[in-house]
Amino acid sequence: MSYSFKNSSWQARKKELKSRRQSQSRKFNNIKAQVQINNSAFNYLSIEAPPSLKPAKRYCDVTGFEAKYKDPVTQLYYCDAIVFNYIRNCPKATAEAYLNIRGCTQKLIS
Amino acid sequence: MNYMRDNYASAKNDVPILIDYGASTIKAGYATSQGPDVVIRSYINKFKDSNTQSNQIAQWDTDVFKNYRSPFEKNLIQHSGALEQLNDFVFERLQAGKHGRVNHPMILTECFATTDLARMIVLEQMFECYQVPSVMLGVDALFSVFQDDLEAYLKQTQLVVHLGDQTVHVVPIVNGQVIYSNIKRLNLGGLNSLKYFYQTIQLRHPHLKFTYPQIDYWHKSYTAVAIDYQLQLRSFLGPQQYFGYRDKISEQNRFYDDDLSFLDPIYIDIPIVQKIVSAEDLKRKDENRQRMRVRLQESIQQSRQNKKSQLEQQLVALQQELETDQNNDELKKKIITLQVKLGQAPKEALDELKYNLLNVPDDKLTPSQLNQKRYQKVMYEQALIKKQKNQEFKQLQKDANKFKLEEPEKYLQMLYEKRDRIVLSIQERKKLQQEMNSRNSRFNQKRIQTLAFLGADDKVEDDFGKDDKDWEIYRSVTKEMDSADEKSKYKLQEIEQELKDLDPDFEIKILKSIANDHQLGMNLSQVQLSVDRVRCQEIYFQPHLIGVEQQGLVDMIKLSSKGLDKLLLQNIVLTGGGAKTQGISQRLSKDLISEYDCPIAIKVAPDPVFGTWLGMKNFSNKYQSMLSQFSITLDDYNEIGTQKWEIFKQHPFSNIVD
Repeated sequence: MSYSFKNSSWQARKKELKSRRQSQSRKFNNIKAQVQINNSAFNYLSIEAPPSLKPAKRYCDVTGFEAKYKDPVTQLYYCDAIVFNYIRNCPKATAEAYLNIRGCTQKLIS
Repeated sequence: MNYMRDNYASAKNDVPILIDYGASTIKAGYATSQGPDVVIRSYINKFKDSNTQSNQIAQWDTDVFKNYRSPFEKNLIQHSGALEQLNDFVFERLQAGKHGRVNHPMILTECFATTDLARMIVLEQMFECYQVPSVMLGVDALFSVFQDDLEAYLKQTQLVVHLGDQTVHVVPIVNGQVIYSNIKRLNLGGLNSLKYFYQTIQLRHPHLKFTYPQIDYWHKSYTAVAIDYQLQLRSFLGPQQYFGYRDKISEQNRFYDDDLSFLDPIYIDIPIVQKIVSAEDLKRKDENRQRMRVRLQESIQQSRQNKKSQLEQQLVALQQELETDQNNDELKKKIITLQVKLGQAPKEALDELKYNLLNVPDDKLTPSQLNQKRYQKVMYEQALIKKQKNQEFKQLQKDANKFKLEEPEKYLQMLYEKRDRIVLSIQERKKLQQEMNSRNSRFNQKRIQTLAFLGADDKVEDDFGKDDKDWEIYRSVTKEMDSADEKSKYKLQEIEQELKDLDPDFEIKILKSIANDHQLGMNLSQVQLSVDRVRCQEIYFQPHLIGVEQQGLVDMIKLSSKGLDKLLLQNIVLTGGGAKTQGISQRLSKDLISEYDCPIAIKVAPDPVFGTWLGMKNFSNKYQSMLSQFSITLDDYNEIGTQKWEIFKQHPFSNIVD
């Protein structure tokens, strides 16, 4: 598709620019490397909010209510017996999906 | 916001084009028009068709969470290809530019502390692809605060909370000067909230399929920020829990309101889509089935006749052989079995041959024959037991009919028990099958172990197969399930059909047996939104809910206003699309009041979504003379390039610190 408002030599130029960007160094591979180039105090990583110091409250992974218990098999938090039954009977894939939401990426064996 | 072609044609070359690159939507338009002319989602979906293979703007459906491309990653422009396609779309809609260039000055937005790569991509594209005369770069959060007057803007003192689609920024501005060292960013936003909402609902209802518009509508209209999250959770649990908890809190003399209004759970019915089958189709299917049946019967009859003729030929041949030597017992045996098969002799004739040694006394037998006799005895007894069992089963079937008529309640109970047993077995088998699919399961690991053992070369003697038990290993290796699964399903159908006929409230009973408060595993065609209504928006205050290890919004505001003027807390402004969520300002003020002594005032910007674009428009219309001073020209770009720092200009909306 060609547009009338685009530079006709852009397609060739684009490849050139891209190769130049890659050949310069590997500095643009990730954000951390991009930031290290200009050594100013105000950069993308420095303005990130720091981790919280308060202890995280536990909520039931399935229903969302406050969780008092943790299942040692599936590592899920749960609030009552109904949810416990559900967790134990559900397939491993769903248990892993619940864990992934919370940010745990471990895999359950057996 | 209207798409008017006449308006564009009249736009002259020196009218600036304003583009607000947002992570969720891109807003673009001429500075002369009232609102943004083009508003598009900033996602691209690879659209594959048999005829044309081209990229199109994303079609929004369930696949959008998996299969989309966006130029943005954590609010940073990283993918130049996607951005170019979006820019093409925007300029085509705006009908801007001819003869290989777009001859309008540009005002573009970027996020706080963008990396060099993001700026490079944008500038290279603008200057080399579209050959734009000049580009001004500004921060979106700062443009959204700009009203009319630059002098007023340079005197204000306020704390801007920009709630974007992928990130949240907290920006303190004191006397018109942005305190760059105190800016804080949280790596989540509206998209994360929507994803969280979708995932939690979809996981609880695996039998339903949700579309993107459905989820987006629910997320927009039903979700809100809870003003007191703990109390709200209690109120979802029920009145008893809630009042007990509230009394406890009031004893501790904490902040709480009697007038707090709570959200109620919402139940959404989802229509079951049934396939409508016309009468003609049914007829055609019936005819087809009958035709198939006739064909099958014919083929079976033919095969039977073929077999019969074969057997008869064999029999004739055997009888001819028998005439030559009369004393061959084996031949006699064969002939009798063939006769039994053909129906020429009764079945008992075989028994006499089989158990011929039973009635002979032991004295007349050789030791090998004695062994045979013992074997025949055992076989005879087993055959008798089998016969008895068959008779008993036939009687039972007769009795069951009697049982059904005489004691219907007991019969029903028996049927229910049978059903439960079958359901359990089916569930267990399903679990096993799912385990087989995943690589890490214990079943698969064992399987691989046995395979490795079988394939090992270091065995001295290969005695595999000497014992019949060796072959049983293969049974544990096969992945295919036996046909028992289908059989039990068929049985279940039969029993349920019978139960439906006998018991009028069978379905209600089944539902009651698995019913629970949370509606887990009930497979209803209904969605219950209770905690989901507040949980997905709570991530701003408790980011650990979705695994982001950062502070919440309240702590961020505390941190960024530390050591600065207390006036900041009286001028907190919420902008960005996230500011539209219900209850977010009340929640913030409630949480901040308990932290500070000073008065706190929070307001939502008049137009949170289009505020950035309108701010750009006001600036460009009122201060046209400053525009050239603040922007990077094509000559600058050709002379200096994007590598050096000098090319970027400093201005009230800029991103650059000395």
